[in-house]
Amino acid sequence: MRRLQSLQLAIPSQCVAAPRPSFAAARAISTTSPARSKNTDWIRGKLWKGEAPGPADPYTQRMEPEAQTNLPEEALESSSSRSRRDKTPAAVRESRLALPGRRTEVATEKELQASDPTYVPAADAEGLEEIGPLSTWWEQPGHWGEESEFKGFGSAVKVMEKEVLEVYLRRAVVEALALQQKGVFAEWATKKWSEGGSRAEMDQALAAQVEVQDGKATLKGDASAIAEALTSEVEEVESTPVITVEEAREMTKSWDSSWKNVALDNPLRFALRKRLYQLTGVLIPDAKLAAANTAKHILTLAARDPKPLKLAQVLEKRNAFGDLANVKVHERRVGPIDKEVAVGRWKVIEEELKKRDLPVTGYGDAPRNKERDWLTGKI
Amino acid sequence: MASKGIGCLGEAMAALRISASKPATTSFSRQFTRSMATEAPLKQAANSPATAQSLMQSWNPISTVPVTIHSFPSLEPQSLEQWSVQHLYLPLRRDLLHLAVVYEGDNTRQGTASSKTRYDVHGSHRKMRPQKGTGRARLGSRQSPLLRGGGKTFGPHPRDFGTRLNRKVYDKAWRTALSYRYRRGELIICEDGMELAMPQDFDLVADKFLKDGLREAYLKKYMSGVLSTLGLGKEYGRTLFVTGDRRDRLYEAMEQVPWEGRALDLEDVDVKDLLETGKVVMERSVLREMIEQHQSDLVSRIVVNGLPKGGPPLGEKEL
Repeated sequence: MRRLQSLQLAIPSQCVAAPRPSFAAARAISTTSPARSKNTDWIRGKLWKGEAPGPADPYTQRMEPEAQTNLPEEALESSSSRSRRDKTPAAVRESRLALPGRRTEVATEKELQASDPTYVPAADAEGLEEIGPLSTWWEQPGHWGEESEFKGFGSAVKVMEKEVLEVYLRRAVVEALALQQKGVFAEWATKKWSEGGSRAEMDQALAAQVEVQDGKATLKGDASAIAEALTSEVEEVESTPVITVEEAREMTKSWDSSWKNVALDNPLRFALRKRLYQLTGVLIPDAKLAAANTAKHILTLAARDPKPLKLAQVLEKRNAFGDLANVKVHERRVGPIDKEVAVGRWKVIEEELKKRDLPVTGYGDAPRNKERDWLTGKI
Repeated sequence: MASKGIGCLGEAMAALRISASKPATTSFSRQFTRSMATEAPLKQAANSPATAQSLMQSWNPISTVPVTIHSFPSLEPQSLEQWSVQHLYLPLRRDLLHLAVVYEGDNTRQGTASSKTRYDVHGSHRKMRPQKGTGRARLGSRQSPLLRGGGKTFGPHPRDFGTRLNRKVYDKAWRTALSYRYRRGELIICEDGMELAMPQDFDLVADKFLKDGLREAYLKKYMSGVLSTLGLGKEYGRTLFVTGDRRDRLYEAMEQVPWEGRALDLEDVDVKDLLETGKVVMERSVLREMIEQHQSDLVSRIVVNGLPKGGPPLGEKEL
């Protein structure tokens, strides 16, 4: 303890009392005081025998570096500005991820007051901006970008409608047949076909005629162009053309349905499954696909059955009680609220309940009535 | 007896018809024949549109079933293999699966519960009060099980709960579980070296600059996105990933989202795990290894002509 006291005594009092200087100020401070530099003039003169080069005080005054490079001015400017601007590592600079800053600097209260005279410091946390923890960093807007989105092989938008699925299946069949006609099917069956995102490519494939005789299909159309489009390595903007159900219905009507009888073998099945997954996002399981012998079967297996109608909808469709004036079909059970709504009293009840701060539906905080449990023998 | 004979004959005829119509069935002519005693009138396939269910029922593979090998994580179909029906298309036997799951459960019980009897409880065995004359009940030592702090009369003691199951039964159950997943389209086979490919931007900064839970939070969000895109996430009943050994990225990512599924080594997987989740994604080599290890009922250990009788071939590549 005594030793510590002596240490404090040894330290000059002004040094302890002085407030902590700012970072910028600290850089200008030097261990050599400028007053002392005058005392060194004589030795500099002796050493250099006359006019001494360089600054009088090499510790506090920096010499201006004389830049002599052959680089163009812009390069010099950019490199110097970057090095001055940020010292972030190269990996962080190259990555497109939005990372939190290493340190956050906020203007002090004094600075704020100087710039904005209406500034009033907050007395409590009410109304202050909320910043979540780092665990929610990626959930915050602007932090999760396109570079982090996963893209699988299958289409991100899953086709559910049977008609649309049929259009894509036809396209896949035509493309597979085109490759077969060009004689490159064996080579390309397992490879990735070009996405064919443009509408023109799809129309081109769908325009070709498929003629099936005894399961053997022949393609009538520009097979080489279709095959060329599939096997080209051109990197394209992927935007699978959207087909509406009505459009698909029109298309499927215009075709002769015999194309669906094309017989399948294992390579063709594989290729169709792969293409269908790429175009529609529907991945048919192996065990299901193997049961398909024709394209029609694939369609049956891939399409989801439409949701069965509800009883009320069936009755409505059949117009079962249309001629009975005293019968009405409801979709749901008619409850007490429905009855009040029917006579137009519910709005009033709701308003009154709200006015009294009572729960509109349910019990609110109140427990359920015990009497019911007594009666039903639960307690 | 007579009706049984006719039934057998019908079955044989059905088998003949299947084999006859095997090469290049152009139109869908095969029918699902019932071999039961009650003969139901069969509908004509040409008249009624085939439903997915009737199509599936009409398919009776005799020797092999196709298995597509996908790439991971894009799930792009890459190649096609043919696997024996003995390996991947066994009929569902719930009894076997039950036996196997119970057997596994028994053998994973720790069985270390241990309580003290009156002879293990610490303390003096001095009689607590005189036998007679106090007006109270007679009482021996303070370790008596009737007293608080006394021993436990019939308490648990360490023991082995393990039961036994014939190896052939267990192996068949294992393949039955795989077949069940295959038939329902819940078995996805991927190429060897299954690993989660992360975006390049993440790889640049992952090890040094993502600290304080940022990396984990990123993996969590990314993996959730991957699983929902591929149809493997929670809304599809979770997914089990099986790999040959630990894959750091995949395992770390799956540890962040345990509600979406889990990732296991081949050694850590059992029949119950295979049946638990909505989908099972495994490497091709893992499937091979699994079948190889669990085909004792197909492989004979008796050597004939210098060679033991092996099982059906494992996964022959077709495409």
